[in-house]
Amino acid sequence: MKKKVVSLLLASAMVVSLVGCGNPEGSGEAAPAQDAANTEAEQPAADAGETAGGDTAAAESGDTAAETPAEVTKPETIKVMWDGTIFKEGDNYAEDFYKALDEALGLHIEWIRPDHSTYAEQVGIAFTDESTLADVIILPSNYYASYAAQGSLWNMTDAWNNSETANSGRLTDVAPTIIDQWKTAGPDGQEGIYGMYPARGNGTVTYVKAVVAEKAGYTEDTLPTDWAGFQQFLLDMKDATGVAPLLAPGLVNHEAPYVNYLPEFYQGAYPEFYQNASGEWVDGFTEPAMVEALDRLAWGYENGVIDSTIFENPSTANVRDKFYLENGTSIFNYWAGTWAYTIKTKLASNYTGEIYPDADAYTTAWAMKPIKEVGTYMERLSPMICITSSCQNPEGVFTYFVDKILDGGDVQMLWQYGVEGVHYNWNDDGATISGLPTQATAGSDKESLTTKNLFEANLKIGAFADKDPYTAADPVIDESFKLFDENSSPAPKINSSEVYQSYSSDLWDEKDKLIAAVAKGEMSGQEAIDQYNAECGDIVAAILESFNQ
Amino acid sequence: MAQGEIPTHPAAAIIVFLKDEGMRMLCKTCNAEIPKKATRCPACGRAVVKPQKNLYPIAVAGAVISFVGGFFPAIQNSDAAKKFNPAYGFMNYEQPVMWYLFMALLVVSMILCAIKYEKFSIATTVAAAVVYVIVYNNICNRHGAPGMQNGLAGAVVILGTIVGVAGCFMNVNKNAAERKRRNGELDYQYTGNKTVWQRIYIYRGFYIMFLPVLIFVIIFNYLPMAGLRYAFTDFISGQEPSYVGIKHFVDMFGLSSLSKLSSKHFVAAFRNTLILSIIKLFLNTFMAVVISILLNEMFNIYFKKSVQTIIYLPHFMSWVVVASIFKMMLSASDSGMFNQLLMSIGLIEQPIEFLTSESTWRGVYYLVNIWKDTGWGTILFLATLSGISPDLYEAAQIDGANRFARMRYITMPALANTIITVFILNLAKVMNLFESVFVMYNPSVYDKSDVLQTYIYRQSFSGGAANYGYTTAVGLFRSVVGCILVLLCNKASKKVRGRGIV
Repeated sequence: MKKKVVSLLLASAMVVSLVGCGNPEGSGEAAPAQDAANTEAEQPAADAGETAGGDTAAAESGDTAAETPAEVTKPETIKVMWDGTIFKEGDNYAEDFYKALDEALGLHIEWIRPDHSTYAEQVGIAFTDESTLADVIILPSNYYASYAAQGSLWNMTDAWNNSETANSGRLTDVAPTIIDQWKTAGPDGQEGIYGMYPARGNGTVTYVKAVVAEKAGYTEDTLPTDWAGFQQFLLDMKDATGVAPLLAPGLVNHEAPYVNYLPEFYQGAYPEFYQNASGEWVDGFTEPAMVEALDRLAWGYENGVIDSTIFENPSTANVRDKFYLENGTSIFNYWAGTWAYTIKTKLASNYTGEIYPDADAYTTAWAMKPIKEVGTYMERLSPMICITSSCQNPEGVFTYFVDKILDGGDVQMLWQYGVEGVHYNWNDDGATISGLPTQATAGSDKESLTTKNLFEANLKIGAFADKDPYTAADPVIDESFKLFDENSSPAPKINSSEVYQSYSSDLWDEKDKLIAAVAKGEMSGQEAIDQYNAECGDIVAAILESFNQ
Repeated sequence: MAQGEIPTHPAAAIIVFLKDEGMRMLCKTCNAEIPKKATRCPACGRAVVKPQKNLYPIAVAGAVISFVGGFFPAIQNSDAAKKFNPAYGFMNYEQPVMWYLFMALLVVSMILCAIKYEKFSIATTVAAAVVYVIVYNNICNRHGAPGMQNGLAGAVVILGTIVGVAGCFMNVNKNAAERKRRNGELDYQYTGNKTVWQRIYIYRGFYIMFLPVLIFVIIFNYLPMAGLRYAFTDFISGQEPSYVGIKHFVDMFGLSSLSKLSSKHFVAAFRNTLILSIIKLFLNTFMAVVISILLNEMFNIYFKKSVQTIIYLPHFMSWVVVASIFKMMLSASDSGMFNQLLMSIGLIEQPIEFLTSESTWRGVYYLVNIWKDTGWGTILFLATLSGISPDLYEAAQIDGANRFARMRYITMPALANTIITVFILNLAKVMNLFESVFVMYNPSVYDKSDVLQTYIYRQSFSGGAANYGYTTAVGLFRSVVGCILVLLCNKASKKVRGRGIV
């Protein structure tokens, strides 16, 4: 009898546990967000001081006529899926931000925070089940184009044109250009706005370790300005240290704008489909410029100026770490703005004095202007805040959530800086703020101060109603951003179609292999492009046909 | 323990209970217990007749074939360039209840065969075929048009029905012949006069204990298999799945002009999976045997235990950590310890690209696998070696056998069965290759390193809205090959060891 009772108990326990496993209420729990080593989370914060002052420009979207919206119902709860680009749970008082935002908006936000490093994968999985899909989701730029093209996102063109933000008169000078980048083809093939972001996408600039450059005989004013000069510069830097001076996270990046970490080598070449000056979509990988770019990579590796680790697809963190070492690399391309300051502090913390006796000199990294052949650095399309097609009340979500991000007041303060008393405090002057120690470092020997939440002052596209209270933590932030701002242009737009979606992964596999083969000297650039045309020509033609319809 | 004695340990109780009441063979005439290998009843002397091989698995196979046929298109576009789309079958038939009915009938067929009522399964298998015919006619009426042709479903369902029905007939006939042949002789499998249901009732306690496991297996192992149907759909993230018939298999095998590239990558990944797995298996097993024998020859117990602990440890390290360590050591850059060492002692002038060259990558991969898993692999062999009677070694030593001779004539034969068992068990897992490759490969060596699971991963998560239909199709293919390997291993195991592994 005892045996039967035990059997029944075991069976019951199993059934109860299985029911527990299937409880849908648990599935929406916010996962702890972790360090977002590589992407937008690392986007720098810097303040140009008066960036968003008086000069403003209203958003213009000529594609869709602005209409007066009907009565909009305020949602009680909004489900939001977000990556690591806002305060991380357990790392910097995210819960305080959530609570303050709920109060400021007068509604409840249910957060879904997958791990930042696997966010793109989680997005793909989330879209497979509309019943559990969030109302609002932040999407990497290439995902944005894909999901917009297949109708998984709500077309917010009208809503944006009629929004308080767009008509506030607080938009910055660059806002129209940025808003134009938001436009992408919808399921009907017509361009529209399917997402927004309160800031510019930012971009990367080439940093040079000043102490090594000086050892190689260069000053900040004599840094190379063209490819020939850059080639010599690389060789000189190699001679100065005895190690390969340049490293990047792979020979080509899979996220737009793809070539941003090696701009001097790629120059005008673009390894993806883009719209040329005449408005026609072309495959940049088949163009003569790509042949030359690949041969430049081969030259770099052959002459030992590109660290061979590049073939192992190192992470951006690996690349950064190697730059911080005294006997590491001395040139790398990375984000402008706050990262200039981070690089400076990291160089300082990794300084041992074994090679370079002057500590102050060692912590200086010069941001290089783009060489003549590059022309301008690329400003990427930022990740996009989108409303999904499964949202039951998209107008309400747009009006009471999305449109409030750049309200120029309390809500913008929360998105830009966080919660007063938790993430920052007002200074005695009453006009500026100072960041408070982050949750992860508070009380430790190496306290790190909060500088921003989602976006930084220098990059925002909507000004505060009053003056932005930000002050730069270090002049290098402003200097770096200024250099980028003066020497950048928007990256090509991203497109998507069914046939592109079907074969883009295979195309990238082929491109990756060919680029690596050329860089290692196993074939010439022309041979690589010929092989690409032979093996991928049919697919490329089909994709171009779909894009140019 | 004496017969009938009440056991005190619960586990012992179960064993005795089974032996006493259920598992022993009884003489049908005198009800005496018959030893397992007896040819006659020890009490009454009646001959024991061993049954012929059971044939009902053929009937089950027929039902399974028909079941699979339900996924294929009944009619489809005849143009290969369009990947035979549009396609129509049960999965996009306007009345899904017909598909459920079709599947239910075939599942019933399988269950009937399993509980030895195979003759009734003829009716359900045929009924399923009738359902298909009705649906096929309806689909032809609705979607039949010039340019459409018959799909695979018809042929597969017909084949399944024929096999299923033929299997049943063969089994029924075999049973009739068997009864005639026995002619009152003892049934080898006779365990009493109780039916299956009566025995289930007697052992209901065990069945209730088994219930949680059954529920667990159904929910977590069998229900997810329903997802395999997506292999026949376009399941793009953000869209509802839509039936496309064999489109993804056309892509996989390069049967349309646009799919040549996909097929090239798929075939390379499949080839690499087999090569990497099988060579790794041979090397790991060989090394584990060698190290086991060496460890067995050690007399200093402290040294032996220390060595064992050291070689076990890498098994518990994650592949990410292992890959990082070897990348640091073997890198061709200035930080690569091994290359720097070779260059400093003048053996090489240029660093060797261990991890980024097609000629060296596989070698490094095998080496890392040996380093990580060989220690763990020795456990079974050491257990076998510890079971060898020392008397054998002593006798051999007295006979003048040296160490090598003892190893050759005593140790190796004793290990042979275990080696084959381990080899066969691992052979069944050759398609499960992902983590170790994923953390070590890079685009420079895709042609030599890309395996099916890394290929699936890139196709699913390399950016944008992925088509999970295609990756499911690749996964399905991988599973089918894995399943065939398991069955072959089972067969090999039966041949070698006298019993299967599944």
